[in-house]
Amino acid sequence: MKAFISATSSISPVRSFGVEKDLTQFNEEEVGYLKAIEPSYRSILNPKMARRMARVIKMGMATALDCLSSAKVENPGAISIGTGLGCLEDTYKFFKQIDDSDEGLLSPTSFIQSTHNTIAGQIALFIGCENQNFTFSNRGFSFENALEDGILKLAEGDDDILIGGIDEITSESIELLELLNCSGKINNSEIPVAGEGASMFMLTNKPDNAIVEIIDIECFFGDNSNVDIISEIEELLNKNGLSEEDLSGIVSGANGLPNDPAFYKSIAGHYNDKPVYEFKKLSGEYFTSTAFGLHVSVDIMHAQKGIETININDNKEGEFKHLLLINNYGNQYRTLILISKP
Amino acid sequence: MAGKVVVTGWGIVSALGFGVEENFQALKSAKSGVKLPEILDSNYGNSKYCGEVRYTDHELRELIGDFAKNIYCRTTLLGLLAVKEAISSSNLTDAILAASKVINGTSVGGMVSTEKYHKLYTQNKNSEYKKFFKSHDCGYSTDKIAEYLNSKGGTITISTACSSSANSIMQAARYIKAGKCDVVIAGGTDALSKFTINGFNSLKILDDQPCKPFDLNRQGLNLGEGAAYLVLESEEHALQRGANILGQVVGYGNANDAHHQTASSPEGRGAGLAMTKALNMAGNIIIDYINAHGTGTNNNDSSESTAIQNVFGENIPQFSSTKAFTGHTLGAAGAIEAVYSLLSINKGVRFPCLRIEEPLEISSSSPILEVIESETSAVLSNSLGFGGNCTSLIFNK
Repeated sequence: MKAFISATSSISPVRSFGVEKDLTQFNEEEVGYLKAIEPSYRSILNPKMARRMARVIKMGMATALDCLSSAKVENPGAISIGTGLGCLEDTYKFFKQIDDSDEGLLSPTSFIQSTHNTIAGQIALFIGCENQNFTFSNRGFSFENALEDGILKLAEGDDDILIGGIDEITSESIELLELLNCSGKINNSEIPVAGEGASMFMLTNKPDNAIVEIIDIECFFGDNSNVDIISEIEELLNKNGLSEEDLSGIVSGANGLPNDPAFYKSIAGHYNDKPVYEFKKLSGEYFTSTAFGLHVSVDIMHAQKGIETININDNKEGEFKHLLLINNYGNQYRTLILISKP
Repeated sequence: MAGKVVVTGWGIVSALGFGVEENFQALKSAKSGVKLPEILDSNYGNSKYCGEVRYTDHELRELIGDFAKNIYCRTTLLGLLAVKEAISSSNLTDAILAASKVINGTSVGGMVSTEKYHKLYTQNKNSEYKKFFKSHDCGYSTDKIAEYLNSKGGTITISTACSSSANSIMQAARYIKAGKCDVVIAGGTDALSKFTINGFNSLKILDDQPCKPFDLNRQGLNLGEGAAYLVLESEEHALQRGANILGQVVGYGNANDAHHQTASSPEGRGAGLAMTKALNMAGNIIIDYINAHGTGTNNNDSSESTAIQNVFGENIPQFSSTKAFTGHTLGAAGAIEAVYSLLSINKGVRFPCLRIEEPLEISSSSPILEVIESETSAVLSNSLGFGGNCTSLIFNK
C-alpha cells in the first residue's frame, strides 16, 4: 500500500503560509513564546464567519482550505485532525463564564465551539464533506493517530484524505503548561519553548501529483530514556529495503536542552556526515509538533534544499532522496516517519 | 487480512452500577439510574437529574486498587474501573496485554478536576494544584489505562464529542481488520462536570425531569457519566487462545451531517449515511434491535427517527434508547451502549424506553415500551455527536 502527500499547508511561528514563504522569518510580536504568524483571514474566510471563530479554528480552516485548493480536491475522502488540547480559547471562555457568574445564565456560543472536534467539524461543514470525520486528542501522538488513520483510509480504498495537526496557545494555557513542565516561555531555559501552529496534508494513493511518498511510520509509547535509536532506525530502514547510506538527512525534534532524551545526541553523533535539522527551533514544542516536523521534511524534499538556519552541522546534501523525521514528546512518545522523493 | 473482528471481554460502570451483571439486572427490571446527583459539585446538583455513578472518587480508587492511589481525575478512575472488569472477563495473559493496543474515547477528559481547582490556583498560584491539572487533556486517561495494563502496543485517543467511544470501537475494528494488531482494548469514559452541565443547560436541552427519549412530548436530555470498554480481537487470535466470544463486530460507519455544529439536520442525513455504511459492510443482515442514540431532545429524536425511516423504509426494527436509564454519558455513551447491545445478543433481551406516555412512532412502529425477551442476533447502535459526527456499529451473534 502506497501513501503519498500531494499538498501541504502550514501556519507556524515562521512565515510558512501564503505566497511569501520564508521559514527563516519569525513572528515579531514579543509574547515570550513562539506564536504563530497568522495570515489575514479576510481573503480566506468569510469575515462574518471568521469573527465568531477562535484562532485555532481559523488556523485550521485556513490551512485546510489552502491544502484542498493546492491539491485541487473539493471533497476529501475523509478528514482526520489531531489536536492535543483542542479549542482552548473557547473552553476557557466558557469555563470563566461559569466561574464569574457562579453557574448563571450563559450563552452557549463558546461551549458549542469548545469541543475538540470543532475544527474537523467546521471544515466538513464549510466544504459540505459528509465523509468520515475523526479527531484525535492523544498527547504526543495526536497527529500520529491522524496520520495513521489517513494511511489506513487509503488502504481501505478511499482517496484524498485531509489530515492535520493543530494546537494553540492562550495566555492561560502557557501558564499551566509551564507549571506542568511541558513547555514554557523563552526565558525559561529548563523546559522546551512553547509553540503552536496548524499543519495540513493531503494524502493520496496516486503517485502522479505527489510531492513526497510516506514510506513508513512508527510510534513507540513508553519511557524514552534508554532507547537504542540507531538500531531502531536501522531496523526501520531495512524493513523498507533501505540502508543508512540511503538517508539524505534527519529532521529532528530535539529541543536543544540538556534534558532532551539521550537518543537525540546519539543521532547527532552517529549521523555526523548527514545534515540534521532541528525543526522545533522554528515551531517550538507542542503536542502536535510532529505535524510541523513533517511539513519541514516535505518542504526540504520538495525544494531539494536544506534549511541551513536549523541545520546543526555543516553537512550539505546534493540530492534529498530519503528523509527521516524523528520526534519525542515528554520522554513518553517517540515517532519515526520515513519519507522519500516519489 | 480481512478476518472477522470479535468481542471477547467487556467492562462497564454507569449510573446502573459497576459491572455487566449489575447493569443487566437494572436494565432487565426497567430500573433507571437517573436521579438527583450527590457527588457532582455544581449548583445544579439539586435541580438537574443526572445518571451519576454512585461511587465517590475515593471509593473508585478502592475498587481499582493500588494503581489508582495517585490518580485524582474522575474520568480516568471511571475508565480504569471499567477496564479492570473488561480485562478480567477476557482472560488475557500479560504477554497478550503487553502487545495490545488501547483506544480510548472521551469528550471533556479531565475537565472535572481542572474546574474544581483552577479558580483556587488563580487566587493563590500554589503549584500543589499541578496534580489536578495534569489530567486535563483527553490523552491522560488513555495513558493511565495503557500504563495500568502495561500495554505497549500503542495508544489512540478519539475526541469526537458524543460519538467518541463508538469511534474508538470502530477504529479498533479497522486496525484489526487491516491486520495491524490482534487485540485492542477500546471504549471510552466521561465524568459529569460543571462544564458540561452548564454547557447543555445553556443550550436549553436539559430536561428538568428524568428524560423520556422517543416520547412525543420529550423535554430534553439528562447528562450521565460512566465508562465502558470492550476487548476486541481478530477471530483467529480469539479461537487460538480459546477465548469466550461475546459477539462479532460486523459493520461500522462514520459520516458527517455537515449541517450545523450542534444540531442535527431535520432529515438526519449524517445518521442515515452512517447506518447505511454499517449495513452495507454487514451485508445481508436482519437487524433485530436498534439501540438508538435517542437523547430525548426534540431535535435528536426526530432527526434520528427520520434517518431510521429513510434507511429501513417500512421494515423498522424494534428500537429504543437506553439513555433514560443512564443519562447521556457523552464520550462514554457509544461504548456503554455497545455493552448493552452485546447484552441484548447474549441474553436474548431487548431493553425498553422509560417513562413514555405518547410514543414517537417511526412509520407505524412504536419504540420498545417494556422489556422484550426474544432471541436477538443483530443489533445496530447509533452514536451522534457535536460537529455533525455520526457513527453506527453493528454487533452480531
